[in-house]
Amino acid sequence: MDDRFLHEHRRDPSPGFARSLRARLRQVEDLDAEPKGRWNPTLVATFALAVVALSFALPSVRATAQNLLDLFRVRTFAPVAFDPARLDKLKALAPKEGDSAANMMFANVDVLEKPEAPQTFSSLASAASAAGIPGREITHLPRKLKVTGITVTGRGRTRFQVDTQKLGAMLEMLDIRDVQVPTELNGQSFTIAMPAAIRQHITGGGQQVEFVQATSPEMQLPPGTDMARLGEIGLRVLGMSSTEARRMARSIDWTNTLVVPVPLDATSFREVTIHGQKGLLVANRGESTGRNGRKRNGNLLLWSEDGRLYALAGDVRDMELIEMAESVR
Amino acid sequence: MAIGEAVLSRLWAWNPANEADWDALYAQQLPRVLNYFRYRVGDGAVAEDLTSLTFEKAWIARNRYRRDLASFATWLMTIARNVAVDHYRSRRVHAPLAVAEHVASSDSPERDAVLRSDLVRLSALLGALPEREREIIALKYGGERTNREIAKQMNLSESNVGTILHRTVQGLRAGFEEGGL
Repeated sequence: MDDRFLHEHRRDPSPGFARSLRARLRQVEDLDAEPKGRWNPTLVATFALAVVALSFALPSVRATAQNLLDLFRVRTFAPVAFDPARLDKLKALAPKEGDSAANMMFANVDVLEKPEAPQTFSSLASAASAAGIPGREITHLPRKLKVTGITVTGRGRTRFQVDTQKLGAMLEMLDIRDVQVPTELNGQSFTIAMPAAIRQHITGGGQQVEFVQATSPEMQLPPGTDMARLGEIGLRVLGMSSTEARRMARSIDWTNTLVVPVPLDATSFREVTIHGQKGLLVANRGESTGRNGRKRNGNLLLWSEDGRLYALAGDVRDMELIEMAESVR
Repeated sequence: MAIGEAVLSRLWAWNPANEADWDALYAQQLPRVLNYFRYRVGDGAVAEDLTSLTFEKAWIARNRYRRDLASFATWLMTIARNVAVDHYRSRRVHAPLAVAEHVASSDSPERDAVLRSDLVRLSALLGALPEREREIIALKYGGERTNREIAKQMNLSESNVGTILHRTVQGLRAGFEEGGL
């Protein structure tokens, strides 16, 4: 097929047009670089946690007479793929710029215990003492990797008061119209306590890994919470279909499972075994090159052991991360 | 929030979208988007306006794109197609490549005149194409998309795209030759 006559009429952009458009796009990039209003990792994490929290916030249909609050502790993980575009959609729907997802769901978000600024320590022993947990050590570090820094992030505790009207409005904004938010939960509170955590920063040979260890976060819930039902709503918020969310919500043990939202455009995940315990390996297969032209991969490994949570995250190969995890003593 | 932040902030931090070479992406994609619009809607100023609009929309939401360059190009072209649809909704334009003064200059005035003449003829032929055929031509020769990519973007089979392209190019070529190719 002779189609040269079609190719011949392409032309390059004029230099003036290309320059002026690039300058305008740089202004967009500069705006993004300002922290205010950015949908930053902390906000994403807050959102994810709020979704998890939401899973436990709605009313009970499970008959119970107990006055004590149910307690949630993480022992296992459930990866849930979600579309990051939904986060953008939520961001766009925020009443005020920079509003967190939590503010869109809850009547009040009270910080009962504000975490102290991260502290730096020169040894694992002193960090462990500050964090109040027995610090464990990675005994096998591949290649040139070395521990280059140890910090402890402080404990925090936050209370969320449910506003069913806000929650319903948010679901509607996300076009989730087949879920009813029970009104009897309105005004009920639950509390999430995030423990102090030790973070070891491991770098070398152009690679970096972070090793995090902490006791399980705890969540105090209104008595008799129907976790499967609430989990189903949380999964819908993450973008899961009605049928899939119901099926998964009913298969998860919500008393000890941490839902881990995994961006579906970025990653693959699989179950692994660390010290005989089930763990979750999330692999980000970076197929693009960075500014330096180097291919980028990233892996995240989560596991729970002896009532504590461990996370290893870094741009090393998945098998290396598993070997590091297995060497934790 | 230690564990939760650690989990997701690490994932987020490795999002190659955060470390993309925007200058390189821009340089690579700008000619494709601009030429897509030139084959699609014509007029140099309009094509440049729509190209600007496409890039501005993409840049505002750029952290959403899938991580490899190929998918970035697809995502960008999807935005461009939506911009073209919006443009047609607001104003019917049927003169792709119509502005002869935007023809790149050659070494000689005679050659420039031939190019302008060819461009005017091609513009008229493209303007007479049905919507679907014109879109495929614009994606193929303007946007430099492969048949497979076009098929995916337009919900057609690859063989169907090939057939349509073959038939359309033959028709355009015949019309072009009649006009003095």
